Amino acid sequence: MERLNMANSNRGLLAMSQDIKGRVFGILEPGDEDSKYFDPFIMGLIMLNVVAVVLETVHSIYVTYSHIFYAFDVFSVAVFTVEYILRVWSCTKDYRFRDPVRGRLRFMMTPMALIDLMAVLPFYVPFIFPDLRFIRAMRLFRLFRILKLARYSESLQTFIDVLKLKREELILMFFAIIILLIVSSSLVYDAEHEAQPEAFASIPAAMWWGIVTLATVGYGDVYPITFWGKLIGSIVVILGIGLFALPTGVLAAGFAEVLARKKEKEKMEKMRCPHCGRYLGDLAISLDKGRREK
Amino acid sequence: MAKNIKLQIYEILEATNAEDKNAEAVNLFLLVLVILNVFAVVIETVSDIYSAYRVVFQYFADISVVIFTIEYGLRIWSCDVDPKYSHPIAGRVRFALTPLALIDLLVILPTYIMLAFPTDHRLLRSLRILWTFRLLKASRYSKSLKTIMDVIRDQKRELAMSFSAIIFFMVLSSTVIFLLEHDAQPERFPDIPATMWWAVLTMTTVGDNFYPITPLGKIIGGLIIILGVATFALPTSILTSGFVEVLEERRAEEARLEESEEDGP
Repeated sequence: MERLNMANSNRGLLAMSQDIKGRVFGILEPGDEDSKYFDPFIMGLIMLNVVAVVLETVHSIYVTYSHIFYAFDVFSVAVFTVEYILRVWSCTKDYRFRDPVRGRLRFMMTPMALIDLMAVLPFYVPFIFPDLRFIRAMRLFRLFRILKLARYSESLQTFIDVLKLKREELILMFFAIIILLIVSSSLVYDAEHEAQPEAFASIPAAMWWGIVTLATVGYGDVYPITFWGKLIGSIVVILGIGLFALPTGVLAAGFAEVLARKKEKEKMEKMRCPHCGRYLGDLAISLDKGRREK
Repeated sequence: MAKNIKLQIYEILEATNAEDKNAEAVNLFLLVLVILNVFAVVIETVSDIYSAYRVVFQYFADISVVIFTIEYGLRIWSCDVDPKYSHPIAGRVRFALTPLALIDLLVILPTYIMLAFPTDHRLLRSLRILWTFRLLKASRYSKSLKTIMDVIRDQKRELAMSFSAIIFFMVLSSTVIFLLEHDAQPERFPDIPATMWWAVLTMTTVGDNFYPITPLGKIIGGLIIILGVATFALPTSILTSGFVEVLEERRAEEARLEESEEDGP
């Protein structure tokens, strides 16, 4: 900081604030040298917040340590609020959001910025609407803070990439599952409704049986008892288990593909000349070929 | 002379050379002993069998501990052959602090403490179950164990990612279900940690008498099941594809070796 200030002492206040803004922007953007300390700090804070939200619902723990939970929440909200304000302030450094007003508004509408806002807003709402039921629900809304991790976590990024890559297949399978679910639930509803008017009260109720059965969870709260219900149920299960297992396979294949691409990309980066940035991959390949021919 | 014997003992006990027949025999013997001990610990908990063969179990445990004590002593004595632990005192201490050496000590020590206070210490003796970790050493001899280790090492990043995705999904879905079901079933879903147990049971498709009952809970629960089962199955499919990859590589390597042998003189 001092070095920066000294270097800019003769350039006026505006230029200086621009430099500070650039530095703040660099620190807030994950994954570079500037954010070496900031990234782990904010990630740790987010994770602790998630643990706190989960533990707070355990009554005995909450009663004993409520003041610690409250203090921690106030601290986290303070940090996250400052972080959010700084992000909105410095986002104009990104050329996509360079317009001071419209750019900032567009930045505020990006999913990550909305998540940042959602992470702190529930804390302030009870001051405006002091309704007790509302406050309890709002406390759980703090779990949205976990989504802030998406910015830092490589695994979540990968997961999102996989979903994007396999979007079409997944949607197709989802529809296939829904169709199978509707057909099978209707059939079983028809067969079972008279024998068990409560458990199979309607087709949506029968769909609960369908999902639980097809996913092989099998809670055992509802099951067919008539001959036809059992027969249709068995056929549906035999056909459906395979269908329910398909998304798993697609997701796994997507994971493998995305990671293979990532590895390839990293390899390419390594083949770049560290001085001039020129790509040396072809050279390396031709060298390798020459050696083999020898 | 003593140095030579020391080196030999070290090589046998640490199984540094997979070709050595003596080392293989000794380690196989120790391995069988470990398996028998683990088996004994398990069987001892069946009280009918234990009361009938009590003496046999006790002698077997004591003899095994003596054998492993000798082995432990020999390993500590001979470890300074290894350049990593070459210092006679500091090196030995460092060797004693490696995980496998610590486990040995943890099992052996209580037995000798028991000798000083001779009562029926079945619980302490069940520490022998920790010897299971010694099976890890067997990966030097077993190709399949080695393959499993290779696969896990290769897919480390993918596995870590899928586990963090699982945890993320689990926390999020149990919070939602807790929110929807807590009022309807305060006993079944008293807090989020308890609801996480529901999430694990559901998404591993184990399923228990423990499920949402409100309409919204069932709708969201159904979605969670469809997505969650797929997420929870990710490590399985990653391991599967990792296995295929490693085996294919191995096959390609063998093919290349054969080819070069044909080319050779």
